[in-house]
Amino acid sequence: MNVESAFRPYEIAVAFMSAIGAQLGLVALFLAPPPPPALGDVSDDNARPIAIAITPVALLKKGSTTPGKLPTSWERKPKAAKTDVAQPSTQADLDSPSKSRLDAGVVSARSDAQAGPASSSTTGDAAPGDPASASSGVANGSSNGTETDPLKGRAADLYRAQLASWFLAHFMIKGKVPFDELQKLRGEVLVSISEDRHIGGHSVMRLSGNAVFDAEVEATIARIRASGAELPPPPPNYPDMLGRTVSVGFRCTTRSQCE
Amino acid sequence: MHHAKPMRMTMRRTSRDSRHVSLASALLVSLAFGIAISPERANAQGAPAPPDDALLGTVEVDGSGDGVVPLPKLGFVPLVPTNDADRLSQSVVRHDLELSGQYDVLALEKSPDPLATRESPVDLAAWRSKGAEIVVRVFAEPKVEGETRIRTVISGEAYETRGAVSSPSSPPAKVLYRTSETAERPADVRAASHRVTDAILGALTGRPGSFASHLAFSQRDGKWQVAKTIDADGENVKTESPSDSTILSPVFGPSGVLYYVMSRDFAPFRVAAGRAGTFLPIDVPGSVMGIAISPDGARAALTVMKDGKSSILTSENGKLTTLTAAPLAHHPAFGPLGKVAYVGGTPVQRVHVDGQPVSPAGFMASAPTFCDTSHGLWIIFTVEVAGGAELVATDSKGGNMRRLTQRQGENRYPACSPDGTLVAFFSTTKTGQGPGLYVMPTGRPWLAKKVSNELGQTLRWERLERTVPPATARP
Repeated sequence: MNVESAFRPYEIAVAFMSAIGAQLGLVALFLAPPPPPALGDVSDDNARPIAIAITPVALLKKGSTTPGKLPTSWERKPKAAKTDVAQPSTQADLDSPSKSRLDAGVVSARSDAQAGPASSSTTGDAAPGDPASASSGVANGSSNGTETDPLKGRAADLYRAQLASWFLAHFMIKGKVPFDELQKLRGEVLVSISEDRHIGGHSVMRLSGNAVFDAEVEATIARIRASGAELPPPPPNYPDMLGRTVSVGFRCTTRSQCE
Repeated sequence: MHHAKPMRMTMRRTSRDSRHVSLASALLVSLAFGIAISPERANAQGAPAPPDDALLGTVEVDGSGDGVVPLPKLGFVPLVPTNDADRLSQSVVRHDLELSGQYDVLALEKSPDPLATRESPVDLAAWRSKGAEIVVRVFAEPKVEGETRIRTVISGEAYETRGAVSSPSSPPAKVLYRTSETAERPADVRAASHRVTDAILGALTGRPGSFASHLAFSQRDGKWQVAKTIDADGENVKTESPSDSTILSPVFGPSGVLYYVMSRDFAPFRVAAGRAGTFLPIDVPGSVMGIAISPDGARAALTVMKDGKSSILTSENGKLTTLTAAPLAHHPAFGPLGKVAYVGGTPVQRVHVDGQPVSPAGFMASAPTFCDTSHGLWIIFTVEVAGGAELVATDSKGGNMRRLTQRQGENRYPACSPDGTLVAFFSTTKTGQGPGLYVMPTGRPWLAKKVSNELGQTLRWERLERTVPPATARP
C-alpha cells in the first residue's frame, strides 16, 4: 500500500528547523543576563501629585465607628390624669369657674351665650380689637375674668397649656420632696422673654418655703436658660399673647407623678 | 467622577469667579428681593402690636401633669349632600380635620342625626352625649351671579357643646365661629374647602391650619427626574417641570413660583423655574446642586459643587457670600428667628444650626427642616440607622432629642407644615400602610397617616397663594 505524503520533504525540513529555532530562542531568552536596572529620578523636586477624585458620599457613607444611641421612638404615654392646667379638652365640661383669668369656663360660657365672634368671621378669627368681640362679657363667666373674646380665650388656654408643658419638661421635682409636703408647695417666678423667644432673667415672686423645692425651681430656670431652647410661638392669630414677661407657677399635686 | 484636582477647603476666587459671583449676587438678590412680598408678610414685618403681658395670666406648671392629654373629640355633622360640591367639601374638611391630629374626629356612626340637612338644628346636647366638645358642619351651595356665572360658596360652622342641655325649651345652638370661602370654578372647591378647614382650626386654636397648601418634591421619571407638587391631603399631583431633564431640590419661591436646579443632557446643574424649565441667568462656578429660599422670600441659598467639594452661597444684604460652614456643606434650610441649618462635616455629616452641630454625633444626618411647633422650635432631620433611616427632632441647640419614626424602611425628607403642627415625609416601609407620603402631627407621631403612594426626594411645604379674597359671612 502506497500512501502519498501531503507535505513535500523540504516543507517538513523548514517546519522542523523553525520549531528548533523557536525553542532555542526561548532558552536563550531565559539564559541571557538581566538588563541593567533603569534608575529613575524620584526626588521630591520631580514628584508630581497623583490626582485622586474623592466622592464625598462614599466617604460619608461609612459613618463613625462609635455612634451614640438614638432615643427610642415616641411611645404613647399613658393618659395623664386630668389636671387643672387649662386645656379645652379637659376643662370643657367643667361648669365651675377656674382660677385663671382666661379659663375655659369664661370662654365656653361666653360662646354659648352669644354668637358675636361668628359675626366677625372670615378666615381668621374674631381679631383682637374687633368690635364684635369686645363686648361686655358673659353671664356665667369668671368673676375676675378679663377676656371677652371666646376664641381668643380658647387660644390663650391652649397656649398656656403649651407653655406649661414646655416648662414642665425641665422641672424635675419627682422624688425630691415627700409628697405629703410637696402637694402643699407652690413657687412662682417671673421670667423675662427676649425677642427671639429665649428665657432671659427671672425673679422669684413667691417662695414655697421648702429649700429643696425652691432650689429645683431655680434649677429649672437655669436649665432652660442653659439649653437655649426657644419658647413655643404664640398663636399666629394673637401674636401679642407672648409678652416680655411670663409668670410661671410650679407645683406637684398628684402622688403617682410626684413621688 | 469629579475633577482630578486636589480638594481645597476654601473657594479660591479668580477674577473670573468674582465676576460670576457678582452676577449671581445681583440675580439672586433680584430673585429674593425683586418679587413683591405678600401683604400678609408685609404686615407681619410691620410694627407689631404691643404685647400684653397680662394676657396669659400665670402659667401653672404642675409636675403631675406629665403625659399626653387626650385629644378633644370633634363631631362632624354628616349633612345629606345636595350637590357634588357639597359632597366634596364635606369630605375634604372632614379628612383635613382627621389629618390635623388636633382633634379626635368621631366616626360617622356616632352621629346623632345621620340624615341631617343644613336646615336641621344642630343638637349640641346629643353631640355632647357622644363625647364631642366641638361640632363642625360644612356645606356648599351655588351662588348665581348674573345670568351665567355660578360660584360655589363653602360655609363652615363650629359649635361648642359645653353647657348644652337637651330640653325642648332650650334655645337653638349658637355658632361659635362661622366662615365661608368662594370657589370660582368647580376645580376650586377643593382648595376653598381646605381654607375653610384652616379658618376653623385658626378660630379654635389661634393657629390657622395648613391644608390650603401644597408640597413640592422631585421624583424619578424614567431616566430623568421631574419636580412635582401635591396637595397637603395627598390629592392633585402635578408635574411642574420639564420631563426630559434631571431636576433636584424644588422649592417654592415668592408668589408660589417653583424653583429648582436642572441639568439637561448631563450638563452642570443650574437654577431654573416654572413648568417650562426656564434657566435663570445665575452663573456661579461649578454645578448648583440645591436651592433654598427663606419663608419670607428675603433670603436665598445655593449649594454649589466645584472641584469635588460642596459649599453654600447665601444672598443677604444684597451680597452673595460663601457661608462659613463645615466642610462639604450642603442642603441649606432657613428657619424662623433668622436661623439657618445645613448639613456638613466629614467623615460623618451632621446637621448644623447657626454653625453648631445639633444632630447626634456618629450618625449620618441629612435633610434638616425647621418646625416652629407648639413645643418650641424644632429641627427635624433624617439620621441613618441600621436597616434604614429615621426622623429625629431636636431643639435648635441639639437638645431634647426625640425620635419621630421607628418603622421598617427609610423615612426621609421631612417637611414641616407652615403652621408647625404637621410633618410630611416619604417612607419606604413595607409594613402598616406601606410606602408613600405620610403626614404626621409633630406632637403625636403615632398618628401619622399615609396620604399618597408617591415617593420622591426633598419635600418642601408651602401655603397656596390665595387667588380669591375671603368672603364675609355673618350668621
